[in-house]
Amino acid sequence: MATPSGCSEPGSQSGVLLPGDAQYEILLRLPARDLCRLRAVCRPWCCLLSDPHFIAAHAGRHPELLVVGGCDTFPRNDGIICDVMDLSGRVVKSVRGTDDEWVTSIHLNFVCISTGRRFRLLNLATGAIFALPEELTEEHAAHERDTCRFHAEAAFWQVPSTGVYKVLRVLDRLSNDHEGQLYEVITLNGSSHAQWRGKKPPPYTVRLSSPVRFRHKMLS
Amino acid sequence: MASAGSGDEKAAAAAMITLISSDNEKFEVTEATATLSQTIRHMIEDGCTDGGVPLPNVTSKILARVIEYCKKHATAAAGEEGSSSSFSDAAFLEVDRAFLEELEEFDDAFLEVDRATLFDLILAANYLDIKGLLNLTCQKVADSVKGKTPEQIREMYNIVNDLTPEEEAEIRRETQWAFE
Repeated sequence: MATPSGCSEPGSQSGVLLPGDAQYEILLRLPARDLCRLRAVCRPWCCLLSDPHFIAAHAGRHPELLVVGGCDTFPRNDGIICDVMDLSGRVVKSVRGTDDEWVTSIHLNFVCISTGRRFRLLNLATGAIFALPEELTEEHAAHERDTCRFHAEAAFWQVPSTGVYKVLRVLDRLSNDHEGQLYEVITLNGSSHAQWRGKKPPPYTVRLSSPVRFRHKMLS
Repeated sequence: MASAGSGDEKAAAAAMITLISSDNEKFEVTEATATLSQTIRHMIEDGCTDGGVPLPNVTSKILARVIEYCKKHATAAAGEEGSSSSFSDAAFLEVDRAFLEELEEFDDAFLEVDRATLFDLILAANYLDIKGLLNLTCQKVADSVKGKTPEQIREMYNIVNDLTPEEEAEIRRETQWAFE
């Protein structure tokens, strides 16, 4: 952790309009993501926001989990597919998967894990697991028969303007005479009838193998 | 049911506390209003409020606003107690909900102040240990900070960046996920 030398009392420098006591109370009420970013504001903020006492006080107020890390594309020997850490780097939860599951994407409190073309969304805060439907969309169903093998990857994100969650899955299909990709998007609106919708593939091959960030406009 | 102990309630409601601001202005408030402040509650419990409670950290302008908040919310607290013990019918719950909405509107209007006043209110709420007011005012500022870049924050609060370029680059590297 980069903690610059010579930490002074937060807010003690001249020119700060935000009073020190108020500053502490205000920063406590911000999400962890903002606080990590605001370490770059000035030395006193960096010291305060890296301080174990502040981090403990913040964690007590914001029970949601903060960082997912330590995940690999394949499970470790002990069956743990990723570790969830708090702001100080302490592992607060280890997520177990079945033998062939791996983490395909991470967004906010959600981890998307998959085996083959079966995807499950795990809500780290609540522990709830949501299985996405496996069937291909109607327009892609015909490919089911002429395809020997599917390899699927998925990315999960939230549409900022509406707050709804969407998942993109990319299916690599390999048949006797053809190689190609199918694109399907599902919108998670809280109902149990969510269905994949087919999308026109872009004119190039897409790989989602590492946790991916992309522009929502492209796909929504 | 409701009549039992109403004599005591009247006696409690009648107990008045004098608060004295830093510029020596006196404010008479009921004990119910004053005890929203944990600091004053402890003083009352210790029996050291005779002759008034001096508040050298709070100006009359800010104290008047704080009292306005406490009066409103003390009424709300009294209403809540009543609803759990004496009233349970739907009509009362309806009134209760209307009052909560009114309280929310009051809070929104209460926060319509300039930044300096807002900070003074935070400091007063902190010193007087009034949880609701501290939450309300701090959340207001926190909401305005949310999503801002370090540059925007420095500008908003006139903060001088005393990190060396190397230190800042290092911090940004470590917390890059928060910038994306």
